[in-house]
Amino acid sequence: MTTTHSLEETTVTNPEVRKIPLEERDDIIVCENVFKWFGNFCAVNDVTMSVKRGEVVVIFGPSGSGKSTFIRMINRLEEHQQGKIVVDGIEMTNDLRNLDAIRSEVGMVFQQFNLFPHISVLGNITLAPQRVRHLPKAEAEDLAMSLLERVGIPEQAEKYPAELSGGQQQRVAIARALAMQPEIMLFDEPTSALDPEMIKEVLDVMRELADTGMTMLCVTHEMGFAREVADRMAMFDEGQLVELGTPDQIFNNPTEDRTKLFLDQIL
Amino acid sequence: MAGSSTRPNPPPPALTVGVPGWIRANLFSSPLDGVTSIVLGAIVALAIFQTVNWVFITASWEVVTSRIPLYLIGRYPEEFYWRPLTALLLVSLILGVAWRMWGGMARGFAIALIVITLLAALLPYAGVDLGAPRVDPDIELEPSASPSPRERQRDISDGIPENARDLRDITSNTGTLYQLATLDGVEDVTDYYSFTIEETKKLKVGLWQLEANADVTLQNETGASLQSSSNTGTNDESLEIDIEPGTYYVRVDAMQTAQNEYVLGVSVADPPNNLVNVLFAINFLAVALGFGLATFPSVRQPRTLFFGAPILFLIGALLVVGSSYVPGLEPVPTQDLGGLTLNLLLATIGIVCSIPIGIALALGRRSEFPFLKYACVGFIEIIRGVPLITLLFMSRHILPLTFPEQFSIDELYLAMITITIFSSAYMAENVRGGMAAVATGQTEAARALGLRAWQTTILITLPQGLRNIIPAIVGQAISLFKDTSLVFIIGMLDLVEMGRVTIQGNLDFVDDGHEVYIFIALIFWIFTFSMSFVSRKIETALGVGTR
Repeated sequence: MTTTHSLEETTVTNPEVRKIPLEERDDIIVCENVFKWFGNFCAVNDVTMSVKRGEVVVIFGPSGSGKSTFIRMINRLEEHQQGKIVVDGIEMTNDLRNLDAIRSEVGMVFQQFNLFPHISVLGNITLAPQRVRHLPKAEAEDLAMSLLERVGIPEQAEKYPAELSGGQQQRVAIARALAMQPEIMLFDEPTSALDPEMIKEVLDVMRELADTGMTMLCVTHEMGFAREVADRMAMFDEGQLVELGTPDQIFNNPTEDRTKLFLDQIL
Repeated sequence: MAGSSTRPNPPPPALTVGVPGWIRANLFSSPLDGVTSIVLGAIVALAIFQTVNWVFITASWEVVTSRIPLYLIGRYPEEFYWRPLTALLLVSLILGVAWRMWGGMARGFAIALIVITLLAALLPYAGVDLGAPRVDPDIELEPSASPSPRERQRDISDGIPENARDLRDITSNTGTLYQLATLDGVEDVTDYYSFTIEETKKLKVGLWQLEANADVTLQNETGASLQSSSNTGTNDESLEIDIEPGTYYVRVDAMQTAQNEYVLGVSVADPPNNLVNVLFAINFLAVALGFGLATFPSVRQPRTLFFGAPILFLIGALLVVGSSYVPGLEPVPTQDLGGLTLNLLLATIGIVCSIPIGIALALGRRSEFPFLKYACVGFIEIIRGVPLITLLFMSRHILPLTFPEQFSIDELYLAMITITIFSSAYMAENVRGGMAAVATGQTEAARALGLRAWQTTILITLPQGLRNIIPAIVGQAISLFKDTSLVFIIGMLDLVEMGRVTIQGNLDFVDDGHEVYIFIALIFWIFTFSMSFVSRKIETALGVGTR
C-alpha cells in the first residue's frame, strides 16, 4: 500500500451530508407500527420511527427491551410480523431479491465480533466483496487493506482472528462490514464484550465513521459516545420506543419517567 | 524478590522430592496405602514375570515368524509386491509432512517406519528371508500331481540317477509340487527326483512329516551337490537356492524303519525381486520428500493433510487393488488380497469415501425440503440401527437375489461398498453434530454480509463443522479399522481370519492359537494407537476446543 486512502474511497457515503440540517434530509429507514413476537412474548411492540440519511441514532434501554431485536429487523436477521419497514426505498418483504439488495446496503457489527475463525483477517474482509459483489481478488484485497488502514491495523492482515485482541477483532469486524460499502451500519452493543482499554479504540473508529456521513444505528450503553456523536437517542423499554430525542433533550430534559429512571441508574 | 535474598534457599525436607518423595506420596502415604501398594505390586510383578516367561520361553513364535508376509499381505502375487510398497511410499510422504509440521511422536512414527523398511530391505542380504509362506501344504493347494509308484535308484556309479522320478509338473511354471512317498522294508533308501527349468528361478525344497531321520540334497546335472540339509531325527529339512536353467536332482536319503513316510515339497518361484528391496530401501526418501515439501509455508497447513492424505490414500488403494481400466495395474484376484493389507484397504476406502457421502447426507438432513430431509434421516437411522456384520451378510447373500442373473459383483467391491455405506451413516451424524456446534453468530454474520444460504454453508458452516469433527473422524477410522475383520463373513481372509485359518488348517500350529491372536492383537493395537495419537495432534494443531 503506497497511497494513503482517503475516506471517500472506501465508503459510498459523503461527509457533506452531515452539514445539511436533519429536517431537510430524506428518510433512509422508515419503520411504521412494527411488531415482533417470540412465541407469546412481544419483543418489539408497535415501534414507529424513521432515520435520516447520515444520521447517528443511539438506541439504549434495559436488557430485554427489544433494542437488539429492533436493529436486527433492519437487515432481516429477524423478521417483523406486523407493520412496515422500508430501507432506502426498498420495502422489507420475503422477496429474496429485495433481501439481497438490503443486506448489501446494511452492514452489521455484533457484540461477539463473529469473525470467521478459519479464515485470515484479510480473507474475512474480502470474502463478501468477492462472493457477493464479484470483485476481482486483487481489487478486493486492495479495498480490504485500505479498510484495515482506516481501522488502524493493516499489519494484522495475515493473522487469524484468534491471534488478535478483542478490540482489534471488533475493528476487523467493522472493516469487514464496511467492505460491502454499505449506506447504513448497524452496531449491536459493539463494545460490551471488550475490556475497558479496548473500548476506546473501537469507539474512535465509530466516531470517525460517523464523520464520513454514514447512517448509523448503535445499540450501546456508552453514554459518553452517545452525548458526543449521536444526532438522536432512542430509549427502548419492554419492546416499546419510549422516547426519541436529541442527546441534549434525553440527558437534560427527558420527558418520560422511565428514561429518567434508567439514566439515573447507569450514569 | 530476585537479588534481594541474602539467605541461600533452604533444601526441602527429606523424602518429599525425587523418586523417594514420589514413592512416599503416591504409594505409602498411609498404612492402608502401603499394604495396598505391596499387595498390588506383588500381583503386578507376578503377572509381569508370567508374561515374560510365556513370551520368551513357553511360546512358540514360529507360527508367526514363518509366515509374516501371509499375515501382512495374504497371498498377494509376488510380482505385484511393488504396488503396495509404492502405496507405502505415499503414506511415508504424508508421514514426512506430519513430521515437519508436528515433530514429537510423528517424528517417532516416521523414524520407526524408516527403520522397519530399511530392515526389510536389508534382511534378505543377511540371509533372513521372511518370504517363505508358499511352501506350505495346508494353506497352499492340494498336491498338483498324484503320487505314483516311485522309481527308486540305488548305487549310482557316476552320481547321475537314471530313473529319477520326473517332477515335470513344476517346470512348466512357477508353483509347488508335493510328493508323498511311503517307504517299505527296513533298509536305508535313497530316492531321486529330477526336474528341468528353463529360466533362473528361486528353488525351495522341504521335507516334512518324517518318521525317521532323513536328509535332502540338491544335485546338478553332473551329480555335484549344490546344497544339502541334514537335520537330526525327524526334524523337517529345507533347502533354498537360486538356480540357473538346467536339469537338477533332488536326493532324499531316508533312514529306514518299519514304517516311514515323508512329504517332499518342491517349489520354484521367480528369483527374489530386487525391486521390492529397492522400494523398501528408498522409503526414507519419501519421508524426506514429505519433510522437505512441508518446509514451504503453503504446504505446512492442516488442509494439506485434510485434503492431501485422503487423495494419496485413494491412489494407494488403487495401486493395491489394481483396475482393468488402468494400464499396467492388472487387477489382483480378490482371493489373493488378504491379511493386514485387506483391513487397511477396506478401512481406508470406507473412511475416505464416507466423508463426502456423509457430508451430503448431513446437508440433506439439515435441509428444509421435507422429502430430501426424511430420505436422509431414514437412510441414516436404518443403517445405524443394523450391525455391520448383518449388512455384510445381507450384501453377499440377500442382495444378489435381487440382481439380474448375469449381473455379479466381486466380493471385494461388495465389502467396500457395504463398509462405505455403513461408515457414511455414522459420518453423517458426526458432520451434522459438528455443523450444529458452529456458533449461530457465524451464520448471522455471513447472512448480514449478504452471502446466500448455500454460500454460508459451503464457506462458513461446513469448514468449521468439519474442523470440529476431525477427532471424531479419526475415532471412527479406528473403530472401522477394527470392524473390517468382520469381512470373514463373506469369505475374505483378513488378518484375523488368516490367523484362524493358519492354526485350524495346519497340524503343526494347532496349539499356537495364543501366539497368533496375541500377534494379531498387537498389530491392531499399534495401528489404532497411532491413529488416536494423530487425532490428538490434529486436534491441537487446529485448536479445537481452545478457540
